[in-house]
Amino acid sequence: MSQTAPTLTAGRDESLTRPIADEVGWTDADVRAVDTVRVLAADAVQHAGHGHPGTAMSLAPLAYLLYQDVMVHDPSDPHWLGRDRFVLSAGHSSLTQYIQLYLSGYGMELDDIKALRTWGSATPGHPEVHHTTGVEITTGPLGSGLASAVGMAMAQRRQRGLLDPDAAPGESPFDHHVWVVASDGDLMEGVSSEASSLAGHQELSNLTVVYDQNFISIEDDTDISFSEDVAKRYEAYGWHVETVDWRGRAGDSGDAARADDGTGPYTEDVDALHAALQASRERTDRPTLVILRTVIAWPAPTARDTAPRTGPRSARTRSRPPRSCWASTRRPPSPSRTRSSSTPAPWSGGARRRTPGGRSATWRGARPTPRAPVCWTGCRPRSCPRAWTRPCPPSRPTRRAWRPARRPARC
Amino acid sequence: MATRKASGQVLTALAPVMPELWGGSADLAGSNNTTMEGEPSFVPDGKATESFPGHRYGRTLHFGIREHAMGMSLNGIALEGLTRPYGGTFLIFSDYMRPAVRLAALQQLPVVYVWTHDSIGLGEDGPTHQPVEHLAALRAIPGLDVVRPADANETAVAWRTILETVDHPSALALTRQNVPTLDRSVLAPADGVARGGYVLAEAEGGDPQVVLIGTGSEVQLALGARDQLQADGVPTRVVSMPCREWFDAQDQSYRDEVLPPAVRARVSVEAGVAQGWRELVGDAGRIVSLEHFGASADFETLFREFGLTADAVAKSARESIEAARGEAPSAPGTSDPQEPTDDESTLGDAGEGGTRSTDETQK
Repeated sequence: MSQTAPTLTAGRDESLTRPIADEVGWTDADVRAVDTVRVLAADAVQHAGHGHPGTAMSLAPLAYLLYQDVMVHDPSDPHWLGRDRFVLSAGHSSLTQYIQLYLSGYGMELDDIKALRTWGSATPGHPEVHHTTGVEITTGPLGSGLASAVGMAMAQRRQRGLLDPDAAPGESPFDHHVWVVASDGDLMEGVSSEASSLAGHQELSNLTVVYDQNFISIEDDTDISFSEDVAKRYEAYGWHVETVDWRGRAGDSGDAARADDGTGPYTEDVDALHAALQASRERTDRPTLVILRTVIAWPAPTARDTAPRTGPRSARTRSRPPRSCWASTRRPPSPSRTRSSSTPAPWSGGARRRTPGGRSATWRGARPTPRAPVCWTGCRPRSCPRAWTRPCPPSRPTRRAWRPARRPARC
Repeated sequence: MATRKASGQVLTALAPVMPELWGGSADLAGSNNTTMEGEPSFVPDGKATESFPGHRYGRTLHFGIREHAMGMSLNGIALEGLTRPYGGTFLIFSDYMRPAVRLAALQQLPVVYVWTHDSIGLGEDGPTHQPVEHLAALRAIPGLDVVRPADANETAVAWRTILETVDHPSALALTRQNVPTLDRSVLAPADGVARGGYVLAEAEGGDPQVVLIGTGSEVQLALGARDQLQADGVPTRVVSMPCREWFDAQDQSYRDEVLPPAVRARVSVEAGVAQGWRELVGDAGRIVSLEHFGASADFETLFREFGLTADAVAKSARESIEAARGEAPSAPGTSDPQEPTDDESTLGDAGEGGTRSTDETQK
């Protein structure tokens, strides 16, 4: 691992296992950034006096990995048609997304995060589409995000078939992938079962669900109400299932994790997670469920592995991570300073589109953009008086950028 | 022609001109008439069936018996942004979809619901399948348009208006049973549907003394009552009100034109609960509604037994005219008919031995 900026993790608590992220190429800057995400989540909730910091803390490596190393997206053009879609089905953990929008350059600012869950802020309690740039879907009712993501994956296939059916696999802007982060609650709600059954039948290989299995819900240990073998259930639906276990000795219930000393065995194997995610993108015959076994709120010493059962005041003190695990200053490093200079900084908002495996396809201009009706924006009947009586055939191939923005009809 | 059938014909006609339009049903394609004729199904290669040939890029969606997932998936399709999705099931099962419908409205997604079998008019399947409170409950969702056309022509205009709506969801409530295709050479053109409510039949012989407001399959009852009232020399206007939300969106002058403030004698008729109609019929108005669950029988019997008839509408009209003159009570607390007209009751009285129960031990 390159150590371009060793001071960035100089103050990190040595008792906390460093994320294993050699193959994905994380530097000290990345580790520092992920730690910063955890602090920001805790601070935001502490500042607001209410909210859900735990998942945002423990899923910081996952969220960071998705936004920095996995998803194809362009923060400078949030509506770019070819972007991967990110669905935070665990909408209560909105900070998981907000902080990544901040770090990756979607226009989210630190002040927005400070304004979490307040009137007029860009950071409402649960993510809201059309309200916060970079948020693709309103989530919060558990299961709804996952189930809607199945529709996104179906639509992706239909759109490709309509507009770019002849492109080689992976070469079309319509080949985007749908990434879902789901919680125990999402997997309990019936609608996710319905939708996952449908997704398996439809062989939606463009869909990956990361299930954050932390064995904690509002009534604490999920053993009280949820004990099925989720992996087998999804295998039966026709999904590819694999497990990435960060819990170490923490075992299969909240109690076990709480009894543990909580530091040594918990290991964030980002490389294993990254491999599972990348493999899911390459898969062509079925959707993927990655069961990521975590300890909620890790590494906060007293909040981890517990449910928020004692009210906001208590939660504020409990969720605060140990100060010693971060560098000496509480002030988070700005995004532009955290990434090593040798690495492209997608979060700075540059126009470069992140593609997996360094495949920096510049679809615009590199090949003819897909044939599509220029006026085809879903509002055609209103904007095009002739739409009712005349088919609108796909236009000739053009090198003009294919953008989804609504524009006046020209057919 | 049943409005569900008209809807199916509209969809088939739209297929070649709106390639972005696609959808399907939760295992009720034949009943909901949601399949565009001849369009391939959206299924992975190798999973097509004899009844539904298709391929991975197909157009007809098959959600299976998964209404909730259908609703959520429709949201996801709409969020992708390039296509226009619709999904169908029985109106009763909008309950299974409700969280998704609410999220569609919250997210301002132009999803279209094709909900058929929209009242006791579905008949023999009985009260488990007959919507009663659903229209009112759906109208309660902010940002959802609930559209209940009266005949085939209204259905076509409803589809057109819905497809021109791009920033929120719309729901079609369609009949299973046949309804008469109204004679537009005598009545107003169906284009009025786009305004939510319109004067379908104008009063004859003077200014209207009473306005009858009907939706969907009950518009014909209002027209039948009008015939009776006109025969008695009561100038009677009939308003078809397929979409309350669209009507509410009209300016005051149009609404006053359709429902003149001076005409306080008004009757609404809809095969569902009265909730929401008082605000249109006013203090002197009467509401012909259904305040209890349905029953298993042919639809003609149900409408007759439950008092949803042209006679009942005409009777209510006369009462409302009296009320407007101060000769009858205003804003009666319950709707008319208040209860089933004979021993038939489905008001949930099983504890008292339920009059419909065949279990002698409960008598």
